[in-house]
Amino acid sequence: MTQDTHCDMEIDTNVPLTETVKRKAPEPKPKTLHFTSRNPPWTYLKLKLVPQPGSAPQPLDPLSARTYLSSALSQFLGLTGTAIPIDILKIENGPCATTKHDIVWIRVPREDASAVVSAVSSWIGGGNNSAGSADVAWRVCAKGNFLGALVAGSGADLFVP
Amino acid sequence: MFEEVDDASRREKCFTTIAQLPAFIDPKQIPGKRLPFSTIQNHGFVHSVEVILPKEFYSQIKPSLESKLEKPRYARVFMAPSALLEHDFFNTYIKSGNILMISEGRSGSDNVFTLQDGVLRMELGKEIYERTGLTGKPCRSGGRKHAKERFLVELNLRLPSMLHGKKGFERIVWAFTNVLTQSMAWLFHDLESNPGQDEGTKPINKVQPQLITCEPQEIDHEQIVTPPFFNEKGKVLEKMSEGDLQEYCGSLSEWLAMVQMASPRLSGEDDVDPYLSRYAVPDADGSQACDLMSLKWHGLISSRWIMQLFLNLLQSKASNLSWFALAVATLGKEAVEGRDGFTVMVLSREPSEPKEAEESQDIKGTSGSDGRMTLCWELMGASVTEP
Repeated sequence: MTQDTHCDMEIDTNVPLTETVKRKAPEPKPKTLHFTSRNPPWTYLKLKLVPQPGSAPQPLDPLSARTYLSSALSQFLGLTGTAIPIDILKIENGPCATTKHDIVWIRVPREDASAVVSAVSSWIGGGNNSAGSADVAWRVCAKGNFLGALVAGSGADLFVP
Repeated sequence: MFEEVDDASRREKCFTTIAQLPAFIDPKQIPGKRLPFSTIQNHGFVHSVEVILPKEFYSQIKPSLESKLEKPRYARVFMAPSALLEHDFFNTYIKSGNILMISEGRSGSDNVFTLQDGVLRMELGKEIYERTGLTGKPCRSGGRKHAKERFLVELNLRLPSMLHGKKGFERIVWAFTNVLTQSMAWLFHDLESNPGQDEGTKPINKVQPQLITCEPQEIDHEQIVTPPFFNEKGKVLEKMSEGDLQEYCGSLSEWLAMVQMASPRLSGEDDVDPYLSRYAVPDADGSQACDLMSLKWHGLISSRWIMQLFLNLLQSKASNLSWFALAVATLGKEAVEGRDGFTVMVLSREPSEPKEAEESQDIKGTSGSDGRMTLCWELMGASVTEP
């Protein structure tokens, strides 16, 4: 993490010389601040719930998403896995068969992100609780430490007629 | 808890810049070397542009935005690379014109072509690259570290030597007729087309293009908890420590992204259980609920158009009184440390008493008072596999 503050004093050379009859004192350029973040506190994940062929699960809601995630984490990491804090930022429940169906956006501490990714990608949920739940799995659609880089997607849909 | 940070995560970066915009900007002489203008110009291929602003402000600028700004237009075509070198296409669009083209495919695994400013860039796998017989240089693919697996061939087709019949050019023609023969989907944008021009006779029509005009999508965000920005409620830039400043900028960019994704966590009426989410808007006690609006364009969009949009937002009459943010996502990013896009946020000029400044605003705009404060986040290295 670095932060350097510098004032650049170069004069704008784009101005045509013929028009500057009056000589002006060079305006001091305003202060510019740069810094680079490499270790932000969070990692963001976009996960899609994929039903196993033949089953028709209920639409995703925050509570069932949290249950599925906890189940995946406890299967992979035991009790310590369930202690990973997960923030559910959004559930997208568009119409079936679109890309916006059964999507959950979550936020986890950056240090735990790779454990979460391993846990959710190796997990297949069984129909263990109520009768409505079916066999499901998670697919990781996007992962990044800055949410702004993920929200717009990859743009690959533009190429599909 | 589990300290096993993967390689991809370590490569992710966010470059933050806090700067002051010049008090007056001439649209004919954009200060292209200064942020955020340089950032806008450096992102050549863009698939999504989103503007976030208070709803009140949007209703004021909507008429001028609609009249001054043309809708971005592009075409989707299906063709082989050799079609680029057809006489008509080559002379009209590459030699004398200026177009932007990008092919489908993921950098790092597929053959990817881009054409910008007359320079054709091809990212190819080793086997194909060797068969083409063209000269390129190895590039990073995110795979094994020292194996040269992927190559980048850059051809400046505007060079005087790039003519049909010349030796070097015939090699490209040979490679396109014998090796790189596969048809693929491309996006095409003509930077020099005018809507009034005769559309029927253009060379692009020979390849059956699907012409698309981007319509902006208006999305309402009602009662969004909005944090205090700089110079509001004690958030004075000069008084913040380095750590505080970084943390504040990070959470502000997160908040903007949350608005983009329309997260229910930002709604003033959200009462989610802390078991499900503990997200909190930065400085929640100083925040207030506002109605926001976002405008979204999705398509192949040129940096020139984004610059026009930015200047329009900046220079509309009501603009001084309100903040706005512009979020841009790039298309066809490189496999390793590829640029994901950027977000620019411009704050209002008079944050403390916005209503009183209304009358004297015209004088202030030209008399060179302090420029508006702007924040710019440039992001790179995230992994997005699905649209």
